[in-house]
Amino acid sequence: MDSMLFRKRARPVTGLAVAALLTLATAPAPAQTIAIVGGRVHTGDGQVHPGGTVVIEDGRITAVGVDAATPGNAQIIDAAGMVVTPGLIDALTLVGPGGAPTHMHGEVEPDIQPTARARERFREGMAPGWLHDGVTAVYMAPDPSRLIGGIGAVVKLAGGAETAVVAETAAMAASFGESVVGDQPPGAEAPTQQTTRQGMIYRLRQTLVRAQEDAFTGEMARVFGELLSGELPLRMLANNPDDIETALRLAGEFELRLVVDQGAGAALVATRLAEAGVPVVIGPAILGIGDGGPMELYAHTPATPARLHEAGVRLALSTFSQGGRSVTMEAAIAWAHGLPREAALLAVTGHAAAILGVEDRIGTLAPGRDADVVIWDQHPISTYGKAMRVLVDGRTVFER
Amino acid sequence: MQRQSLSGFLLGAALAGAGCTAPEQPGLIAITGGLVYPVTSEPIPGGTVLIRDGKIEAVGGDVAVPRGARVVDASGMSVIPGIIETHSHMGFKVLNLPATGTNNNELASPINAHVRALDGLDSNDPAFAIALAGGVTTQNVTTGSRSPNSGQAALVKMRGGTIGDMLFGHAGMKMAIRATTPYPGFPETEDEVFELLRGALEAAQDYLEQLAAHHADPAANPRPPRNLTHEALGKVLTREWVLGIHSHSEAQMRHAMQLKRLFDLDAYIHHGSATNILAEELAELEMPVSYGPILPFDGRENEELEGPVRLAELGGLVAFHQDHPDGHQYFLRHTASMFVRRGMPPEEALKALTWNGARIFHIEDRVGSLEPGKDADVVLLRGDDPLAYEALVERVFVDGVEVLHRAAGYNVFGDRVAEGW
Repeated sequence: MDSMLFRKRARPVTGLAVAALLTLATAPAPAQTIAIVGGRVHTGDGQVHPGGTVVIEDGRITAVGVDAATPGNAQIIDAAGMVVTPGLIDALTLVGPGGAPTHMHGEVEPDIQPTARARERFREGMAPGWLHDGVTAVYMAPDPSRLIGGIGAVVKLAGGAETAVVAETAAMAASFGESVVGDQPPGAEAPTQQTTRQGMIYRLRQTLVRAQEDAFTGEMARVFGELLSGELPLRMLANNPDDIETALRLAGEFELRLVVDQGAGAALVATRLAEAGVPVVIGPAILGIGDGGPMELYAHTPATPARLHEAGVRLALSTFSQGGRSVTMEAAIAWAHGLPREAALLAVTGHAAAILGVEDRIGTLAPGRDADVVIWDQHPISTYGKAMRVLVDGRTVFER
Repeated sequence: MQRQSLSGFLLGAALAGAGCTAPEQPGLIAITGGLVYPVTSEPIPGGTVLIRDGKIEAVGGDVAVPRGARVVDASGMSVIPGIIETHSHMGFKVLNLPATGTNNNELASPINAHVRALDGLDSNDPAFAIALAGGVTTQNVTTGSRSPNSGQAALVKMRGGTIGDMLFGHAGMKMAIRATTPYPGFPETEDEVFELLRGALEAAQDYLEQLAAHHADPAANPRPPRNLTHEALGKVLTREWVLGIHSHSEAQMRHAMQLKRLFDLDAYIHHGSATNILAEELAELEMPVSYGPILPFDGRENEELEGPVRLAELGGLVAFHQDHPDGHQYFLRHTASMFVRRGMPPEEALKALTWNGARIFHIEDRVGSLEPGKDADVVLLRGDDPLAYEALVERVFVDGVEVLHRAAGYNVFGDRVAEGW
């Protein structure tokens, strides 16, 4: 279906574009030099270079700016009148088959699975719709319905598993609140483990205490070691503002590096999040409420990103979906509701990469970074803006 | 469009020019200076919408503002008719509380034509406030799709207050062609569902015939015992009520189209995922499609989504829906933006949000466009493109009463939702 769409829409503009398209099917990155010239370059760290140049050599960015020299052997991509950005990042997704890890390495309890790896859901060519929307990398969350779902990964949406996995171990993920708290139906047998909010937090605390006392071995000991040393952040899905405060208390108690996921009610505790230096991966604004959706999501509004930004909280935007939902639409909605446009762009580029801990690879246009670049017909944070050309590792992987 | 006499115009202009201040007349509102989209005619830059006693009195570029009118400055804004949501379950599932009976699916039997959505709604649903902030002024609140025939739908206007205060009219009957969960006595396959629905309509036909025979000759033909199910389906057969049929796949949609043909019904499709395949036949059959919910699936690469674009091209009737709570009604407008991205002309997309829904429910004499004589349901949005993501809804009027004013922090549904919507 997508290949049909591609054929219909692909409109080779130049011979060079045809050449670039022909390389789509070939796996090895071409050893070549590319210069994207004349576009309005947003570097993903807040800088804008009108009429700037982005030079790419062998899949990496080597120079960016108005004064960047174009090497004589460079293939020129004319971006005059266009907008150039880093490949966008969706900082919280469930992409991949089934939306949850397919293989469990071991568990503390059925809903505490610290070594389950989201990375195992990675498939080549997954979520082509996102790639065509200018999203080149995503965070794959482990199962969000478990108290500890496992290890999340950062992957690119183009390229094979060898090159596309940017961070196999990006974070340990936990979930609080109504995503994991189950009502006991009347007449059900007494639960065998704690299922209340307070009971769930007890079990999380108990697990962290056991980790501190070296009760675990092997892979389990390794991931908890990284968590407790602060090498690995703990991403806690928490929506109710009180749950977010609980997450802050727990992180303080165990000196964890905390990231709040989804954060529907985060605006109500924005000052505390800012003081603690805890970032939030927010979204999506278009979350359905009702229909079995948790009551806690009512705290979310499209102005939540703006409120967090005003309070000084670092944020990334996300779709929290398996596919489909558009992170550019999320960013545009956040912009419409008060988030400055450039801040919205940062929330899907540089800041997203920093929160994911992959800022040395992706998220910004700077020398040394992977050449994941998108050329847009207009600013991507907009209603009608379209990705006209998408490069990953210097290779054109989509052209409209 | 403007029906004012020249002398009236000159008098009004003279009074305005003289700077006369008159006490405000209740119910008289002039929305001035905006880019007015009447929907049924060309946009009017710097247009005026004059409202008197809940109705639109005049729309145009040269409408004089009468003495005593409250002037609402819409400069820098676009002015559109209230948005019509053609498929919603708002009010049915308040806060997902178990065992409160707030559920849109009555499952006691497969045929529930006698069940009315109106009787099950709760005006305390916080979603009403959020939907209003998205510019929705009228919605079709319908029963669910778990049973082949889930019941009768209701049209509500976003006036605030109780469901009774908001009630606008009957929205017809709801049926669903889908393989159902096999509750006791329920059909299982789509074919069986179709046959059950056909049988129910035939039984209602018999009932109507028995009634007619009784009225023709009461002595020879006793009145059949009153049957609320047959009575309700009878109103579908006589086209007093419109019938909305849930169907997604081509096979399901063909069953729905066949029901319309067999009984010559005033029927439309809910969802219509295979509209891309059936667009020509739908246009030929004059069967409208209430399409959706698309959001939250904007990023989807899917040729199915060409369906509404194609149907609109062929002159068919397509409206959009969010199927609250599946999709968020605040973002119904964004659905239209998405189809503009896919090639639907913006004026068609705006029609699909307003006028087309009014036509499906035959309420286009009341709502769906900005024209003299119609209900003053008016939405003001920031900027000149009402379909832009950044075009926030600033003010909303329903029946000439201001029900939302974003800058003033006013929402007629009160503070039931967090600030920011």
